[in-house]
Amino acid sequence: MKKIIAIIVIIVLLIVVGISTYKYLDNKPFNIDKEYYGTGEIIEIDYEELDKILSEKKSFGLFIYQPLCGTSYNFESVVTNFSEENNVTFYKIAYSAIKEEYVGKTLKYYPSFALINKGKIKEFLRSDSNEDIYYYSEEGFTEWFNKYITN
Amino acid sequence: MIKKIIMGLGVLLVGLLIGGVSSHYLFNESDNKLKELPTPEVTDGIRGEQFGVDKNINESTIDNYLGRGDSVYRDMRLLVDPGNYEAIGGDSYLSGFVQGFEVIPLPYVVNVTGLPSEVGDTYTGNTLFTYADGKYIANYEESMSILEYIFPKDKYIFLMCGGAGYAGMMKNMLIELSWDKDKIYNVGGYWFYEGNNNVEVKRELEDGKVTYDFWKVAYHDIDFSNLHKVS
Repeated sequence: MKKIIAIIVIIVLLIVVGISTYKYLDNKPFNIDKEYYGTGEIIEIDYEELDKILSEKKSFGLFIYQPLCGTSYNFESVVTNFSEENNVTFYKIAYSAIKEEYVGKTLKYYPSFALINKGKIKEFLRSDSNEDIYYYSEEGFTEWFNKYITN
Repeated sequence: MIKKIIMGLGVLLVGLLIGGVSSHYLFNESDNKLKELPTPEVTDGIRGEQFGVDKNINESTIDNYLGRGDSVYRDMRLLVDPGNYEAIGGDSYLSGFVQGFEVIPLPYVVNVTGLPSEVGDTYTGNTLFTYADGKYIANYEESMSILEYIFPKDKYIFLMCGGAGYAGMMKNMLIELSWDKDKIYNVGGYWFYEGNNNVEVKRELEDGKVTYDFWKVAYHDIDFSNLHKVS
């Protein structure tokens, strides 16, 4: 009986350690690919281009917006200013282009900004979250970006 | 004796059934009574803080509130935006809408500012009002009457657009002009709508070309040539 309890405890501990390690690695900051540094630009892409870049497992920043309706303009200027001041190039894509795709369904709302690590969405800003309101400001976006990106 | 008891119980049961069903149809008003609407309340995040999307009545729940006789439904988009949205990968056309919403373009109501430079100018023609120095100034003698007709003050007003921005601007304007803030809902953006009342306007033809069935859209046209400018 004691042996069984000991085995269960060890298994539980291993699971806890495993989950903690995964969480640590998952939240670890990463680098955007060097090719995106040097100039501060926002490059418009469509879904085909995005799909290609994701399949190439690149690491980059992606601004999700939608023309018309006034929703994205303020945050777009935040992203543009950051890009220019830090000489880092981001992609931008209209929400309508990704709405039916995995990326759009993950992000759910725009405006948003996604950090992509080796082709996978690592973190993104949620426009329906009170916690993320601050990160849509210039100061907040810088803080949020530097939290996940090391270079 | 037992047979008599059973027969009696049977008659009683039938009587109760008939009485109950009759009462339901005679006294139940719930089929025609409209459900009370929740007070407008902004949702979480910048969707709520910046754009004023409603927490309870939005793209996810609007299907539960369509077709009300005490309400009007307005979509604030242009059918075709003259801005060069193709330059930034967008779609200038109203590609669909939610059944029941009638279109009244915000850019015809009041001037729109702050567009990205790549877009160029959106509609820059006549507007019912001009927003300047924090005030809405009527440009035509009929401006307020038109606004009151399209957005009746005695009705609940549900506003929608592509992404909630124009709807938010319209709500702010109405409140500023003394509409009841508790009767106006920013339902949010058509782009986030996944309900059962979608009406597709954009249609792909057999040859791959795209056409737009604008004849499906209930559209409030404002003919400025028939209006009288305020001197």
